[in-house]
Amino acid sequence: MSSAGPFGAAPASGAAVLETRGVKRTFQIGNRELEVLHGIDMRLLAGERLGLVGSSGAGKSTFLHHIGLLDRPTAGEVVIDGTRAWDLGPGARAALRNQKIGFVFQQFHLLPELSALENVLLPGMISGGRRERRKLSTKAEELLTSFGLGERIKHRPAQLSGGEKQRVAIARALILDPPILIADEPTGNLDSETGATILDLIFAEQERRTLSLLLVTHDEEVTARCDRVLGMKDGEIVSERAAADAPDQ
Amino acid sequence: MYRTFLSWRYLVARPTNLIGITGIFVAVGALIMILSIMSGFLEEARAGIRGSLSDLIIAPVDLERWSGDKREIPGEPDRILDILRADPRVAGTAPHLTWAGMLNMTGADASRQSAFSASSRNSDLTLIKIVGIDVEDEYLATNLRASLEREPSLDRIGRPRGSRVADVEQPFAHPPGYERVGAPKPVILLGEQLFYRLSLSRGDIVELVTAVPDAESGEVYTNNKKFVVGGTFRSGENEMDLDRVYVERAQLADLLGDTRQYTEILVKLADYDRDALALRDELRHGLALMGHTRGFPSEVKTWEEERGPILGAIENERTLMAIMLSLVLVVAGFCIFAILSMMVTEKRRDIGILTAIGATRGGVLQLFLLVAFWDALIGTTLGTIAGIWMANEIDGIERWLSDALGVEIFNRDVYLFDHIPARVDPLGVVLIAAGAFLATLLFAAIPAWKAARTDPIEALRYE
Repeated sequence: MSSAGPFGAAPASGAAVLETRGVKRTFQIGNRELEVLHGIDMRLLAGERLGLVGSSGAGKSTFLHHIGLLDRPTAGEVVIDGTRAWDLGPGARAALRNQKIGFVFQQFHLLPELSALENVLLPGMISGGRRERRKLSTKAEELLTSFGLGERIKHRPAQLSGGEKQRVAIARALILDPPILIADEPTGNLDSETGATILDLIFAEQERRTLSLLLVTHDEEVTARCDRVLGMKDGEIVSERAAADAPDQ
Repeated sequence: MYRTFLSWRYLVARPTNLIGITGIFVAVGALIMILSIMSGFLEEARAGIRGSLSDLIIAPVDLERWSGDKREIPGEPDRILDILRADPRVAGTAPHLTWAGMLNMTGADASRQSAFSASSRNSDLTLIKIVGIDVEDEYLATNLRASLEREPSLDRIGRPRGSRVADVEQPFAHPPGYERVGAPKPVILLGEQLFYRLSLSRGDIVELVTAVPDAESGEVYTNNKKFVVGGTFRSGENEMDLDRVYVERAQLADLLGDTRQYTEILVKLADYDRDALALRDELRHGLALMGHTRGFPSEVKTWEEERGPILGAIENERTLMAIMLSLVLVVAGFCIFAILSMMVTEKRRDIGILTAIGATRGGVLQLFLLVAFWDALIGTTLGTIAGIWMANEIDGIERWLSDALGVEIFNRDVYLFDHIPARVDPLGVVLIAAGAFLATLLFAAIPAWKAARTDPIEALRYE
C-alpha cells in the first residue's frame, strides 16, 4: 500500500529541501521478494523540524539510508534541493551527500585514529583540498569551542565521554553548513541528562542555522519539540501530526 | 587529500604494518646486494677471460694435410699472420703452440709439495696445459703483461701466492741468482695458484713431460725437458692460474720434437664490438678457401663463443638468484595482502562512516592502496639504501660475519678473488625498486577493491 496521500503530504507553505516520491525497497530472500518500504512519499521543508517515530522494525533505518543516499530504492526517487539524486553518477551523488546532508548517528561513528578536530574536519577534507582544510580548521575549532569542547580538540574519541563524542559528531555534521541534518536516535546511547543536553544543542543549532532537521526517535517528549511528526509502521507512514497534537505526557 | 592523511594515520597506528615493511625491506635489500655481487662476479670473470683469450681465436682442427701420399704440415702460421696483420681492424696477433703435459716435481724439492697435489694424484706429476708463446706478439694480443705485472694475491695468513718475474720486458730471462749447471735451462712461467699449490719458489727446477704421437707409426712416445721457474702470472681466472704454464714457443716445439709450430692464433681487434663478428665470418670463409682450416665454425671463434658455457653459467646463476629472491618479494607481497585484508575487516565501520559523509568507492579504494604505497615506499627506500650499502661494504661484512661465526663464508682460494666483487647497476636497482612497488600494489589491490565494494549500510552496523 502506498503511503501517498494526506500523511506524506507536506504543509502547503515552504519549499521542500528533501523529498521522497514513492520510495520502495524490495529485498530478494531466496526465491521470495520481501518489500520493506511500500512507496513512501515524504517532504522535508526548509527550516522544518520533522520527527520520525516508529517501533523497532518499522523501517525507519532503511528509510533513512534511502534519504541519506546510502541505498538505492527499488522504485521511486529521492530529490534533494531539487536534484533527483539517483539520476546522478556516483561521484556527484557522493558530493551531494557531502554538501547537503549532515548525519548524526546513535553510535557517534567517529574515526578512532583521529582527534576530535580531525574528525570534524573530515567532510571538508573529502570535498576540498589542503587549502580547504586550513580554512575549515579555524571554523572547526570555533565550532568545537562553542560546543564546550575547546579543551578537548586534540583528544581521540577513546578519551571522550559519550556526550562529548556526540557533540563532536554534531560538529562534524555541521562543518560544511549543510541545509539538511539527519539525526538517527542521537540520544539512544546517552543517559537522560546528557541526552537532553545533546537535544538542546541540536535544536539550538537547527534554529540558529535554519536547518531542515529530520529526527528519528521513539521518545514522545522529543517529538513534542518538532513541527511535524510522521509515524512509521511496517514500512509505511501511517500517521502525521503537528507538534501541537502531541499527546500529553 | 583525506586519503593521504588517513592512510598515513592507519599506517602509523598499526604496528602490524611493520611486518609488511620489513618484508619488502629484506627482499629489496637482499635482491640488490646479491645481484650486485653476481654482476661484479660476472664482470670480473669476463674481464679475466677476455684478457687472457684475446678477441678472436683461430684454431684449425687439423694442421696436417695430405697431398697424394705425401703428408704436409703447414707449420709456420706466417701466411695467416700476414693476412691478419695487413688488416687495419687487427691490433695484434699471437701464435700459440698449446699442448697437454705434466709437471714433474723431481727437479724441485718434491718434499715441499702440498697435500693437494700429493693426495689428488698420488705422484709427483701434475697435469697442466703448456702454452708456447712469443713474448712480443703475446703482449700485443693478450693481457699477459698485466698478468705478469699484477701483484700476487695473498693467502689467509697474508703470504703472497706467487712470485713476480724479475723483468717483465724479458719474462723468459733467467731469474736473479740462477746458477747455471751445464747447458742453461729454459724458463717456465706458472700460474700463481699452481705455483702456490706446489709450494714452488722462483729459481726452482721443474720438468715438463709430454706425450706425442708419431705421425708415421702412430705410436705414442714421451718427451721431457727441464725448466727453471722464472716467476708467476696472475690472470684473475682460477682455472687458468691453476693449470697453465707459459714457455717460449720455440722451446715447446723443441720439446714436442715435431715440425708443428702453432696450434692456435689469438687475434686482438682495435674495436671488438664493431668488427668481431664481421671479421670472424670473413676469416671462417677465407681461411677455409685457402686451405688453412676445414671451414668448421669452431675453428674461428670470438672469445665469448669460446667461453660461452662459463659466461652462460654465471649469467644463468644470476638469473636463478634473481628468480629465487623474487620469491621473497612475493612472500612480502602476501604479507601486505594479509595485513591489508585484516585492516579492511577492522576498518569496516570507518568505510561506512566515510561513505556516509561523502567518500566515493574510488576514494576508499585509493585510501587502502595508499596504505600499501606507504609500506612499499618505506620498505623499498630502506631496502635500496641497505642493499647498496651492503653491496659496497660486502667485504667488511663478510669478514665480520666470518669472524663472528668462525666459518669462512667466501673462500678466496676457490674464486681467486682477493675481494668479493660487487657492482651496483643503477638500472637494476631501479627495476628492483619498481618491481617491489608493483608487486606490493598488485597484492594490495584485492583487499583495497574489497574495501571499495563494502556495503556502507552493513559497515555502519558493524561493531
